[in-house]
Amino acid sequence: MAMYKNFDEIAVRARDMGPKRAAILFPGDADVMQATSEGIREGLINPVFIGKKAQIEAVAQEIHLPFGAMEIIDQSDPQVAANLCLDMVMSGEVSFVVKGNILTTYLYRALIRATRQLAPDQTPCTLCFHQVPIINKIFVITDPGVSILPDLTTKKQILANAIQVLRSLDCDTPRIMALAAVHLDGKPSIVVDHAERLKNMADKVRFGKCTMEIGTTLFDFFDGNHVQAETFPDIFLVPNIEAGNILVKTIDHLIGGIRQCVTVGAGLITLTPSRSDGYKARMENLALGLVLAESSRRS
Amino acid sequence: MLPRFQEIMKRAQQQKKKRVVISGKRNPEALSAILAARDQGWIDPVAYGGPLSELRDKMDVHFVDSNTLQARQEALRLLEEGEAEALLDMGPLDSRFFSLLIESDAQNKKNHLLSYVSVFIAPKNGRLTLLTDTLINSAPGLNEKVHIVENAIHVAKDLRIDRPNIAALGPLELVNPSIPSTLDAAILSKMSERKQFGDSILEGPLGLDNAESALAAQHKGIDSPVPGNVDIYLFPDLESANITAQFLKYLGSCQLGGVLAGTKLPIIIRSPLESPDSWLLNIALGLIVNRGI
Repeated sequence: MAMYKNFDEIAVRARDMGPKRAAILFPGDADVMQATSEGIREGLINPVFIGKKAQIEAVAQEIHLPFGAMEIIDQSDPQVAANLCLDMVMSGEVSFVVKGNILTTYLYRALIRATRQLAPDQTPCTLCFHQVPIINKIFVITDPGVSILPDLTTKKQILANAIQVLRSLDCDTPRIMALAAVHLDGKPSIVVDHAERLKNMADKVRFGKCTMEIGTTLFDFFDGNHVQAETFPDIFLVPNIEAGNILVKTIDHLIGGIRQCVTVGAGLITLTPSRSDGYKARMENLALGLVLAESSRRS
Repeated sequence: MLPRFQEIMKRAQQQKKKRVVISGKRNPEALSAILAARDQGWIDPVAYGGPLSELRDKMDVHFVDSNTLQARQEALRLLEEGEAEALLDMGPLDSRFFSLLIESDAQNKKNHLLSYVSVFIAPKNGRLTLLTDTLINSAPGLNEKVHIVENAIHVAKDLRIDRPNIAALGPLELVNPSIPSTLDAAILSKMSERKQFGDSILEGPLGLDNAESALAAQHKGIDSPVPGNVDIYLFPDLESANITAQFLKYLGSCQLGGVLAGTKLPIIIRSPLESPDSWLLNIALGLIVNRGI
């Protein structure tokens, strides 16, 4: 099967699956609490709040959310709280974690720890799902979030992780492009070298069914301004955090795309919504988390 | 063509006609742009080298017994000696051509680095925006970035951006010792504060989201006039610059132009980032920048 065309398709699928229990990490903020309350109303989540209880109750009161029936775990230490959230995903108590008002680093650290426990040969990575006006398909860019300058082994783990996630979304034979620049100085490029080695592994079916190419240009996918969705890559592997981070934000701000990010390790799903997300974006983020969590559990 | 690009073409036309030596291999799109620039009175082209001898019916061709490499050397020599006012190389862009450029550059200008500046019009506000270095310096260190910034400021000023705002991009706004680009951006930002880049403002490190939005930057406690008003994006490395430019071109449907910066006189090329129909824009850009480094 091919990749989802847009986030609306994912939202439709999520409504069939939900609601599921989700851990909301440090929700002591009106924006986060509002988003959670909307997620409940849309039938996507049943939340468990982990954070400073008094603060959570105060914010709930502020936005008129009845907190009597709310499930709250009182934990003021951000790292302990993040670790607890991941423990709850591992034990199956919740389907996924949603980051609230807390530094992302705590959540990443907890996810790295949990991934090591479950699958020592895996590395968590951030997958950014993009929907852009001129392509009738969602595509993924990885890893713009966790690994700063991944070596070949880490890139291999990132790629395996991304492929596994896409397969859980029924994208059976993902098309992958390892992005690289043309180097005119004639010096050997470590980025191209890594890309060639990964392609070699992919060609030998080390990542299961997929196709892979090294991409120094997107020219081949375009006929004028018309893009061929069927051949356009499903996964773009970026060489480092800088290229990835700048690229995903360029797509948001200069190309008019919509982005939803998840960070995944060993099938454990964490969501890192942005504070500036509007209602639709927040619901799409929860929907993606739900579909991924349920699909990876199923597969 | 977009209005800001039309202005650039108009300025090329208003300048005194330049004698341009043409080198490289014959390229139909380049040739048609050269002839258009000639017909509009921007340039007086003269081709060099045996591979271009078939252009005889269109312009003077010299050095017909030489191959592309020899003709390129001769064309660069003419430029260095002031017998030509600009050089246009039709390609192919390869490491041999760049070695020639760097050698001749070193003889000319002592330690001034070559870099490439891509130019596009930001779709949301029509702003002429520069991206650098999208082509040449693979993994620039701080020293190289200082030159890349100076080159880009020079290009911006020639494009009548009098006081350019520069965003030194990184994956985040905090300085992280494990991410060298954030250190470089912070040092460049301090250099800018101390007026080491003249009349310009460089801010960094900035994530692209905060560079694009004054409000988002304010939320992060960044008090600077650069966010939301960026003229020049300085990228951490070639990969991030080149990949971003590719996506802008193809997924963002942005027309890209480009100009080689840091040369004493205009050397006009077309990078693989630009479409073949950008040759004329690149000629115009080449003619109005690169003056007087």
